[in-house]
Amino acid sequence: MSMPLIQVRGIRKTFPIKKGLIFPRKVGEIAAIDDVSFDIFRGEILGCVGGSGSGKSILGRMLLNLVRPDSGEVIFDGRNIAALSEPEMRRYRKSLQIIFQEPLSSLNPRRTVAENIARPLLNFGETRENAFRRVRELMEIVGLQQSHANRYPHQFSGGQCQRIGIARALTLNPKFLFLDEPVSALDVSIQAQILNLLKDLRDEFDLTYFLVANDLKVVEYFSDRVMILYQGKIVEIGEAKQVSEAPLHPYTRSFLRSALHMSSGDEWQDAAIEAESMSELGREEAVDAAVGARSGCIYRGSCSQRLPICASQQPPFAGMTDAHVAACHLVSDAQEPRRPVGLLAQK
Amino acid sequence: MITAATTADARHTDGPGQNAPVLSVSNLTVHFASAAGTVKAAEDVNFDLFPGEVLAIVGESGSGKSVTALSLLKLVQSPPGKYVAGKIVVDGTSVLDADERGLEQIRGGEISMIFQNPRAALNPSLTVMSQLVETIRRHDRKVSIAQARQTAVETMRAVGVAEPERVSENYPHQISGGMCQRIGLALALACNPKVLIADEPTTQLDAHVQARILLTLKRLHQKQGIPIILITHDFGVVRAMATRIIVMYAGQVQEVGMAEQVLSDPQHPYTKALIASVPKLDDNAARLYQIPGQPPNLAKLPTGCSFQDRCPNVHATCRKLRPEIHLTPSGSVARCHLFAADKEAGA
Repeated sequence: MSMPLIQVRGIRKTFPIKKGLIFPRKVGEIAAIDDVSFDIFRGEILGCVGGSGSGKSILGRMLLNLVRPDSGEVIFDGRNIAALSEPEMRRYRKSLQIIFQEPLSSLNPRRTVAENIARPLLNFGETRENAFRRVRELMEIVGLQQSHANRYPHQFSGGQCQRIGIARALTLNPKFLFLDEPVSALDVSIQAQILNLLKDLRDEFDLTYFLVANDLKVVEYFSDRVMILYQGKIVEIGEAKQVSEAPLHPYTRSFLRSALHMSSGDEWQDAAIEAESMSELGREEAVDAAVGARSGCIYRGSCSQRLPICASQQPPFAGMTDAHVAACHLVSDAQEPRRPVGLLAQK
Repeated sequence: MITAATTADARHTDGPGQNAPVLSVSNLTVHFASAAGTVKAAEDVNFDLFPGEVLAIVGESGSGKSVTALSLLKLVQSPPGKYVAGKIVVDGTSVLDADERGLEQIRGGEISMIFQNPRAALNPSLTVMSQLVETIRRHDRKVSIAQARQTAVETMRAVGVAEPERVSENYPHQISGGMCQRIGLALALACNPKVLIADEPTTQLDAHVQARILLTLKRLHQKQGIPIILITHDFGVVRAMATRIIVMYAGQVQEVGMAEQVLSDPQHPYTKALIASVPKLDDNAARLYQIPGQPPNLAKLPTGCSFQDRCPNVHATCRKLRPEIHLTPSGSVARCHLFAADKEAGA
């Protein structure tokens, strides 16, 4: 597990803010992803958590080059795929696949299950006979019955559709899967089935995952390492257990306290009350961060522990060990700053 | 039909005390006509809502929880839906017997509802203020526009909108998802209903916003004492909010009990399995517990218990006889042969 499969270096993606109905003009930019660097190691599951609008889905799409970064590199297998032309990129598409949030709408409703799963193989020039032999294999692997091959997607439940989507993603023997909220549309009892299946497949086929989810419990349970994204920046990254048990960044702490789970006490209420008291300030600062040049810490507007330095200087990554770091002045005051590679390291 | 002896059990009236219920549902049975046959979406659903309760109805898709909630407002579309049997009484009025005029008073005046997708629940072409004023005046023609605006601002403040005057001039697409849900809540509360139904109110919101919306609901409940029916599949939300829980599966009530009883000591095999399959933050198990199989087809329910094919405790009786509701050792009531007083039936 020591070699990185994907190395992300300083990627950035901005979207213009436009004003005017007939002749829209650009009045500013929103940074969806702002100077983000990290590695994903072979065989690893890297989880990514953040609020809505934090940029986590865009980030996943940038790993597959479905969204091209404005600047920065996404190095896969030694090549910067962000710089490849579409025909060159096609070769890499086989290795990089995606599982979608909405299992039913990600399938072609007019094609049977078998045709849906076979599509990527046929696209890459496989014969129909070979393709459908592989489909039968894959259906077995993901737990679908062979008798389902000639039915249509709408005849299946959400969990089964997700199995079909997983089978399709596996057809080309990928090395890497981006799991974009793979279970958030599924029932609790089905979530467990799909998560277990994905974990088994990782072990069996030596896959690497980047998991994006809203549900903290799912991410923490499923991932080896977790990164916390806030307004397009990584604020904390580390081993899943460490991040959840000893979070460093005030945002992570607040997010963890807000999350509801079976053993929740009343801490979510305290978190909500705290967020309420900060929100007035927070809104103003958030607008600043979106439009103008960002100076200082992006979270300071909502942070209850802000220091004078937070407004002027961007916090560096710091932590007790290389395996768990956060971008916060409170941490860097107490701990040694870590080199940028620090956030890439793993035990 | 339920017998007199089991009626008290089936309604689980011991727990919440002996106050008169605000809302009473008896023997509610809703079927849908479909090409595949009659879909039994809700079968013989019985429950009471008592003053001061937050009653959570928990279940997976197809469990009948949403159909039950919609029936409380007679909102099930007919055809294809059909109220086959049952009675719903709120404040002395029978909902299912009401005509359109009567229903207009019940909806919003007696029972209000907030929805899963808050933006879709609002009218995209009206400002927030126009929608609130329209709703308030629809229920009481004697209210002047100025008075209605005043009420609207007060209601918005009560649901935690910090600057109601500013927000009220916005259209739904101009405000955040969390704010949309607050407006939905303001609309629901504008006519002082006696019961609030919240159908997955925070499913589409991130952890932070979810905590703040739930805190708002909790405060409303504590200050105004409005009883809430909370429809959800998220046990974290249930733990944070509910005083009593109804667990539904395959259109039937499976277990009813006080929140503490059901969460910490589930009795029905389905409740047990469902709670076991939720990822826990402190869980170190390599695999999640998963309920085998798929939920049954509601058009082809098996004879006997609807959970028989997935139940670890299944025995011969379960395949022959539909279980009645029985008292369990924890004090909850459950639809399972295991708890039959006559042990022969459960042997």
